[in-house]
Amino acid sequence: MRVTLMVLASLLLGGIGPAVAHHSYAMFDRTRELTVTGDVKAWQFTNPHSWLQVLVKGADGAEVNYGFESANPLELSRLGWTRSSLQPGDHVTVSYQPLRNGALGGELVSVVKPDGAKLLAQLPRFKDTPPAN
Amino acid sequence: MINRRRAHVAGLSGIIGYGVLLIAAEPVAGVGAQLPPAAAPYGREHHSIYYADSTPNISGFWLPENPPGQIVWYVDGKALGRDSQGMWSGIPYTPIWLHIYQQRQLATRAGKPYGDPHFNCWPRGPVSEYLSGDGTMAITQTPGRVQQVFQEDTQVLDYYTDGRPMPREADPVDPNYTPRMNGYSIGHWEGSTLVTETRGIRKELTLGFTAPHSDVTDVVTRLTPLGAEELTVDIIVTDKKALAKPLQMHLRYRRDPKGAFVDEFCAENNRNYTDKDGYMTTEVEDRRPTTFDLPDN
Repeated sequence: MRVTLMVLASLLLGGIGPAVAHHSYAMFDRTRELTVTGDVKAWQFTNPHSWLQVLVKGADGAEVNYGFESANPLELSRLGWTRSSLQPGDHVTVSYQPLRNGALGGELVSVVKPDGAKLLAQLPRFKDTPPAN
Repeated sequence: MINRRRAHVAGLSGIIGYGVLLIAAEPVAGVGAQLPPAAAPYGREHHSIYYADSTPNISGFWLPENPPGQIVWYVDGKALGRDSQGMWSGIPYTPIWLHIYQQRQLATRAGKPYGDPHFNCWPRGPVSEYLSGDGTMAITQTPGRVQQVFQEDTQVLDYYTDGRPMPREADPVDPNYTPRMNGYSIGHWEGSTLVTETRGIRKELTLGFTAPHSDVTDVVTRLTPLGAEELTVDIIVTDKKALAKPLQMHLRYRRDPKGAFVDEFCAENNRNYTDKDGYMTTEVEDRRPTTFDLPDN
């Protein structure tokens, strides 16, 4: 397993994320971005969210299943995604913001495909604004 | 190499296209920003088609110009604050309802969102529908009746504009009170503006992203065409139980003559159902969408 931890300044994250759709994104730690490399198990271009399942080999050689949540097809299509953007078996590097509960997966940020092409998965989201008085 | 270039181009064009959308839209209101004035009724000369009853033709497919996720409520004409989770500050709730919303906010900030049946794929309802990720809607207008269909889950507001009163089933004090997901609506024309009132909305629904409302929420929506190609939507929400002051919203839409709905049905692959205590979950384990035993191709 190759997981690289990158702590990003909130400034970099402030304007990017899935457009608000089905739910809050509070279950993801948006102050961190991790990367993981593995093989695509499934790419589900579905509502209310798309899901990418990736099999990642651990240090013992055993594969573990990661799940990455992303926006719905309507929103992702604006970033160039299609239902055939990824195929089972594709060797990919995934950037994501991890689930705060420690489960294997998180909110999809981007995917680097086998040919080196990078697909972004996040759209502008709510901006933090101070409380009104 | 060709595929790689195509992927880059596709991704880039998507981003550029989205950027253009953002640039073309109205500026995002900051906290305290003034509510834009309601559109002045346009004269008959600005509309290419009028119906026999002198109402303008607003039938068609309409795309929102406000950036998704950056639509705001106004109170006393000033924009409310909002955090990156979509939760508002400054909604003028009465004490009991403020406590409910604060508890929901605490749960969300703790990473366990709570209090919105949309987690379970309930419809957003007629208030929150405009706040969804894509508020695209189609309007079908016939003499005496209007139907608004929204992109997400193809929710429908279906109402008469022929002068009939609000159904008794919308009134919580009426013995026949029967609240509905989309409530009950009636409409009438004030010049070129279609004014719609909606009541009898299920109280479990929200003002958007866990913000509660009561069973007496009253939603007045004013749809005003600005010529043939543009439409403003001004919404005022009153709630004599939950809100001390009205909430207001101002949206702009542009007609899309080639518009079409795409599939956007929450139940297709929802992994965010609530647990037994009502908190939203996130299921990262793979689950096969409802293709059952069908082959992949």
